[in-house]
Amino acid sequence: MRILKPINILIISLLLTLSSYAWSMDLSAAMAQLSTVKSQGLVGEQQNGYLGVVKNQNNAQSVVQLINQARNEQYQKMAQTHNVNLSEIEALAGKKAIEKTPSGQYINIDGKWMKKP
Amino acid sequence: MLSQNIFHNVRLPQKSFIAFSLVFTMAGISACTPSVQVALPNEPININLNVKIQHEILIKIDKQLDNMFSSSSGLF
Repeated sequence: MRILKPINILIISLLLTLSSYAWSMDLSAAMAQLSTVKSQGLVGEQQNGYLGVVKNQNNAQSVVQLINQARNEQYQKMAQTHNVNLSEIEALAGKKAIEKTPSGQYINIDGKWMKKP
Repeated sequence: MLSQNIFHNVRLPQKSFIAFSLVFTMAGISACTPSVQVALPNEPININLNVKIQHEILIKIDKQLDNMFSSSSGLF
């Protein structure tokens, strides 16, 4: 047992590094890439307050997942502190996100992707 | 003209006539007031307060979302 302990620790640390490789990205990396994948037209804003994948290239999918997860946490905090339904916050956020999207980037209106005029 | 004639015929004294009319008006007023008081106060005031509170919350949420969707937050 005494011999196994350091081996266990080694295995655990190996697994951890492997799993982080499998993720290949964390939130700060996703934040750093967000504006580029947006301007490349791979990612756009939706009416539900979350990002959507327009074209799945250059990690677009994982950027969207990580950012949406972080957004969801923020929305839930707001909903709890103001005692409002999450869906209401999401709808308001979607409206605001689409409003603030600069022209030329993608927005999703009623299920269809289009470039914002 | 008609009412005058009636009063002349009955010869009701003026003081008692005034007293009667006073009693009737008092009765009328006292009969009217409670219904007026009951009808108005509670509901519309409550609704106004709710609207105001919701409006304030909406403004706060709007500000927080503005911060969230600013370029510095990293989430937009």
